[in-house]
Amino acid sequence: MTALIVDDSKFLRQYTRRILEKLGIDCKEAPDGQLALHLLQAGSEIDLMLLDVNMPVLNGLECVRSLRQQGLQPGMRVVMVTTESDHEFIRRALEFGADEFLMKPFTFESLCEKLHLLGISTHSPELRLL
Amino acid sequence: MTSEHACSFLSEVIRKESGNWTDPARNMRFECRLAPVLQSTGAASLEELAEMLMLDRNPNLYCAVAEAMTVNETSFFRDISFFNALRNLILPNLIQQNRSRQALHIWSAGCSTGQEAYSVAMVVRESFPELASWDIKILGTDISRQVTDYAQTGRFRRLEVNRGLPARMLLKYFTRDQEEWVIAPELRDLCEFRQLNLCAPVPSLPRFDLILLRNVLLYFAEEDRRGIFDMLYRQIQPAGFLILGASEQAEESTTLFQAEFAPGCYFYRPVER
Repeated sequence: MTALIVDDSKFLRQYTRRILEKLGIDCKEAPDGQLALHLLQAGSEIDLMLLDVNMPVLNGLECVRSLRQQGLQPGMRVVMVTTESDHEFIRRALEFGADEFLMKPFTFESLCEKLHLLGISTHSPELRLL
Repeated sequence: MTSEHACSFLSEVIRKESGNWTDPARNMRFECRLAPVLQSTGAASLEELAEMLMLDRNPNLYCAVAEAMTVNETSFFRDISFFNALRNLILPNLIQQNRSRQALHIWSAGCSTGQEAYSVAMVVRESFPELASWDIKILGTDISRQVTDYAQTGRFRRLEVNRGLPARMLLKYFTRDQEEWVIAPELRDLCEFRQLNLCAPVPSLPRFDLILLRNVLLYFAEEDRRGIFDMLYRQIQPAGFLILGASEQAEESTTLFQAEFAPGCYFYRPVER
C-alpha cells in the first residue's frame, strides 16, 4: 500500500510519514495540491492520500475536487487533514470527494482509527484492505 | 515505608476497591496516575499517601485512589469489526427476538467517557429506523463517577471526536459549541450513565439483551473475573449477547457462556438455565 502525504509543512509530512511507515505503508510526499495532482497524472499508484487544506499554489479542497473530476486513481481514499473543523467546511470537503476527515493535531491512534474506518487494517504486519 | 511497600499497599487498596489488578512491573504508573490525588490530599509522596490511607480509613480517599488508577482508554467505534457485526447480525437478531415487547436494553459496562454507548446509539438510529418507536435504553456504567458524569454531559473535546468517529456521523449527530462537540439530544436521550463497581453487589438493574464488557476484564484478577461472569449471567436475557474485547476470552473463567463466531468477531451467549 502506498500513501501520498500532501502538506506544505515539512515537519508534518515527516510526522505523518513516520506513523504510516510504522504501519508498513510506503509513502510519497508533495508540498502542495498542484504537485500532488502532477504525481497522480503521471500515473503514480496511490492507495491513500492524506491531504492538508491550506497550502500554496493549489489548496486541498480544490485538489480533491480536481482529482475526483478527472477520475484520477478512482479507488484512492482521501483523508483531509486540517485544523479547519467547522461543520460547513467538513460538509464541503466530503461533497468535493474526500472520504474522511482528521483534525490537526492528531495522534498515532487517531490516524490508525481513521484508516480502520476506511477499511484499511493496521493490526497485522501485512497491511491489507478488509 | 519504602516506595515498593507503598506501591504494594496501594495495589491492594485498588484490588479491594475496584477488583483491578495492577502489574508490579508498572509501578511507575502510580506516580503519574495518582498525581491529582497527591495534590488534593497534600501528600508529598506515594509513601505519605499510603500512610495517610492506613491511618485514616476514609472511604472517599480509598475510592479516589481506585478511580484514579482505572484506565479510561476509549474511542468512538472502537474495533470497527464489532460494530459491523452489531449492525449486520446482533441487532437484527435482537430485533427479531424482541418484536413483541418492542424493547431493547443494552449495557456498556466499563464505559469510561461514554463513546461506546453513544456509538451503539448511533448505529441504532442510523441503521434501524424501525426502532424509533421501541423502548431503547443504553446504560453506561463505570467505577469512576468522574467519567460517568462526563459521559452524561454528551460533550466531547477535539481529541475525542478525532478518534474513530466517521466524519458523516460528526456532521449528523454533533453540533459545535466553541471548543466542544455536543451530541444530539436524540442520542443522549437513549443513554444513561451511572457509577457502578463490577466487583460490588450490583444494584437493581433490568436484564439486558446485549452486554458490552470490552477491554475491561484484562484489568481483573482471575478470581474476580469468575464473579463478574456469574453476575453477568444473572443480568443477561436468556437469548442475550455478551461481547468482550477482541483479545479477551471467557472460557478460562466460566462455563456460563458459550462462544459463537461471526465474520471478523465472536461473541458469547449464556448457556441454558
